[in-house]
Amino acid sequence: MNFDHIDIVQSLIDGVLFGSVYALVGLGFTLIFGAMHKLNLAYAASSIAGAYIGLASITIFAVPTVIAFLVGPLAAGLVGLLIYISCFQFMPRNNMLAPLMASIGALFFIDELIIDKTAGSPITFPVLLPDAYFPVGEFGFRGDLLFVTFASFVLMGVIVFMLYRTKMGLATRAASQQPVASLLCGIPTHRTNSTVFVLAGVLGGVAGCLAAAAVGVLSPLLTLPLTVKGLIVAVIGGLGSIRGAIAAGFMIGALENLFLLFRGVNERDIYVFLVLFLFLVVRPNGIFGTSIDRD
Amino acid sequence: MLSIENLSTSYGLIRALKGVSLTAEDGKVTCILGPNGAGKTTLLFTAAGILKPSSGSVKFDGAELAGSSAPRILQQGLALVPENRLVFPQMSVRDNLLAGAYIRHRSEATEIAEDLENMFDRFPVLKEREEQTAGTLSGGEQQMLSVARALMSRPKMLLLDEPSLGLAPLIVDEIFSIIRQMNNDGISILLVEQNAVKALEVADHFYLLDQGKVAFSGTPGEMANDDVIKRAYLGEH
Repeated sequence: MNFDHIDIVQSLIDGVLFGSVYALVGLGFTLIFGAMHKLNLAYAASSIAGAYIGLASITIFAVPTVIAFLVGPLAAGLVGLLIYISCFQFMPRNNMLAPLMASIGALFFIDELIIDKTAGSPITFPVLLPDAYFPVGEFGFRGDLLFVTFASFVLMGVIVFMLYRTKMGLATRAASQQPVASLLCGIPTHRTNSTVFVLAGVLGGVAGCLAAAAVGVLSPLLTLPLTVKGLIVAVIGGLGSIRGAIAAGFMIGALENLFLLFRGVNERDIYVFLVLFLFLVVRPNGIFGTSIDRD
Repeated sequence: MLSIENLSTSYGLIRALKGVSLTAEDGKVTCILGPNGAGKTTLLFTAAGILKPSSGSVKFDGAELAGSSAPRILQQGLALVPENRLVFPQMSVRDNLLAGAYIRHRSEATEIAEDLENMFDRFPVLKEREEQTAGTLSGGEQQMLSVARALMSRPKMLLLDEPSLGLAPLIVDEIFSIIRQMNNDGISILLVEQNAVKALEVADHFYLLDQGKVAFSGTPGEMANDDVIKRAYLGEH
């Protein structure tokens, strides 16, 4: 088959732009892992839950779409906090498996709750900037995807600022690198951890709303793929590495669209997994090869 | 004054502390000697709130601290410099010090900045390494950072867990002169050491901890004359 270079470049553009959603979800996974050295598998589910709550605020309370885009992330932050309290806070610190299994439970709980409330059918989500399209030469940029990318960059900036320029961020990094010493510095670990869960939750809520708006529908079927893609992004970026997750998000978005173009929708994810496999073999510590050293 | 009474701490079924009682006076250097596994680190971890005691009491300036959280105990003015230093390896030296001042309120920002400069004056090597990550520091430098980090909370009493461990003799001398200097500045010190010879230079009172119990208590003079301690810790026959 022959592919026009315009098709290839255009699908790369769309892929990179949509990749910002993956970058946000991967960033959320990596933030939580960075803080606690534990995976929260219910994270993408909380993002979708946030998007559903945002949607519900439109359908039930008829709030303007803009407000729904605030309600969704805030609700996702709250869900993140609930996941922290129910699956992480009271688990023994050295037990890796208990919170992992608990968060899988939370993933299915959220998923089933959504299916129960929506009868499992997809619901249309208000589209952002429906008519915005910016042609540049032979190519074009979808306005909503540009907005998604822009919003993601703003959020990533906020997260990096909070981690590296605030007292809360200092405490979070300290607790992540050396939990005992952070306690000895008087840092209440539960507070920094729950703050990270709320922040990551808000991030995921934004990603969930933006993804739903870009796709145009919200469906419980989004939960598992978003979980898997978010994990792949976090692992390829190197768990705990913020810039890694961001870079991997855009990279996976672009590659996914290329695979879609060349191999079709059925084979797309096979190749995404092959990329993950390749990274696990060649760069197990992620794109930038950083691993969090612990004393 | 720190007074520990009848303190017991267990790891599961293993009782690491079996009713330890000791006091550390204000303005003095109190030293705890003891072999590996005697419970020295457990004792300090319990006093600092990292471990919870199963029974007994830890009183500091009259306030009962046994079972309190580590942040609350630090608020009371009791700071622990842990064994193996436990610096934050990927944070800069400066950020490590600022983390030490975490419990101090934002309104103290100018005092915290002054204290930071004081630490750099007291430990010039930290000034040289200010922007370097703590993991790249040598063992001795990390020990100074760990002590300076604890001082950033402005403690009344410092608990030091084997500050000389694994350090070259010259660095050990430096650490002990810092201990004496801090003590002269009015900070009370509870020191856990295996290096009894060095400890004799600074300590006002000694305890010997063995198998979770206090086996000896006395002044440096009494200690230096105790036959068992002489043989086991001072290398004399």
